[in-house]
Amino acid sequence: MFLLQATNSSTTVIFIGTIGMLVLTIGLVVFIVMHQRKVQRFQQKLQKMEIEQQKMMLNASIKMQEEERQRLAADLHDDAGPLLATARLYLNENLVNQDKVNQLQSIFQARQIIDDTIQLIRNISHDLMPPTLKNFGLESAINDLFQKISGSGTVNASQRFHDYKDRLKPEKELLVFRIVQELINNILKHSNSSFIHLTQNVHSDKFYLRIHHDGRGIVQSDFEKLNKSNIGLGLKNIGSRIRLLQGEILFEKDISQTYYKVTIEVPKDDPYSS
Amino acid sequence: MELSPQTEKPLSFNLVLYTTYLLPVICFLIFGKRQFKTSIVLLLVYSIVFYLLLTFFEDLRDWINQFESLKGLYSNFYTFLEYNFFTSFIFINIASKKVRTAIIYLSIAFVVFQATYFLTSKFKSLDSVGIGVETILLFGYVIYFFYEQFKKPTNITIYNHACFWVCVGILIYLGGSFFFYIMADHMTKSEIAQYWNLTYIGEIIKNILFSYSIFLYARQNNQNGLNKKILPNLDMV
Repeated sequence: MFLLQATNSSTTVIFIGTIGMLVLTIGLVVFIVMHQRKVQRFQQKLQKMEIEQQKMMLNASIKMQEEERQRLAADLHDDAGPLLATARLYLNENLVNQDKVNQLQSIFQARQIIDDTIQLIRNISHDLMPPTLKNFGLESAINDLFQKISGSGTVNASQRFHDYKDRLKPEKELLVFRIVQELINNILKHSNSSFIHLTQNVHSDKFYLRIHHDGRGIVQSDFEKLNKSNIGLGLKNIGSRIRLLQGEILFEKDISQTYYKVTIEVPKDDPYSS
Repeated sequence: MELSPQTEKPLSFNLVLYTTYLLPVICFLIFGKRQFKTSIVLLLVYSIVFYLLLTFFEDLRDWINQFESLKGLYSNFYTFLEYNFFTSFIFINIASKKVRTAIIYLSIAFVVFQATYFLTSKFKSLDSVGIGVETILLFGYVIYFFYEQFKKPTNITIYNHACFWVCVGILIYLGGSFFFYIMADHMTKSEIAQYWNLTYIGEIIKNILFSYSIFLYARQNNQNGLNKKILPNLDMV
């Protein structure tokens, strides 16, 4: 109706121009929607890749387990085996035929070797499961770990637990401890920082840990990128442990741009128990 | 919504138009997790404030237009406010620091241009040139915003982004009235009155899209990540 009334040039310009602008806007929106469909297809591809990545992670974890077993086997075979064999040599059948001095010397040597073996097995066992963590909990285990780091003199490591009266379940504590261990290892290996500080707190059924350090670090986008790439096995393990805990992890730079922060959130209640 | 003295709208049209002005706030109150009583009070306050402002600005316009030298001040001020409102919204949603700085400089240039144009040229029926520049600048910002969203590696599709619908609303609103405003100075008063109502169609669409974006925003706000949560004290001190 309006078009029919468009008798002069200005109204024609208005109509053509307005229609043109609306076509431009609609075109833009259509283009965006089409592009988004393309993005969705890409997302599906990405999902497939994610499944592949999960497979890769599973393989990596199996590989790690195998490596751990091999290391254990090697430790037992190369260290404990020869020690026990040597002890056996000292305690052979000829021992009864030897004179008393030699007998005592052999027994003493064998005892020392057995002591060494006990120490060796204890070390292997501690590597598998820190006794402090098992007996005294996460706070003490982290304290031990940080004391060892500070003892080296190169990095000042400190920790503060604000509220840890109610301990997490042992299996959860172990997972959290492994994540902290991996993060600390990464900081020591790659960040070149002079201090590490860990803080713990709880808030509405959530357990929080935050690690600050003043070295080179990564932010969330780097973590996600590394998690999807073939490198960064340690970070993948952190990711899978966090998923297992049904928690969240956030890598970020402090507002002051001086520190890097890693925040871990873990539900206090066992997610599997409900 | 530029208030036009020339237009005579039917009551039903007015009803639709003014309802769409309330739509964004209704969406905000419904989806914003509030108690029913608070929502009603907020809606009443918003409606009263909106009505009072509308009346005030209409009276203000009529009062300003009495003075020959001030004619056009209201129109220019309206364009200035509208530009700043839309630009601020896009500004806070753009990540690039360079573009943000460019927006600041362009906005300063726009305000200087508007003031100079107002002081040096004779006002006819609308500040066509100011509106034209405003539209072009905002189109540029919106297109850049879309471009930035394209580049972002995110799982959320752009049309699930609340800002997207605000930007589409801005495009339709400005695009729909751009040529009319540009040509307004070359039209007779009766022609302006005849076509003025067309600009409200874009306005109604804009209000509906703004409401939808508020709905999306409220829905997304309920799905927060770790970085948006309230965390306990985890500082070093």
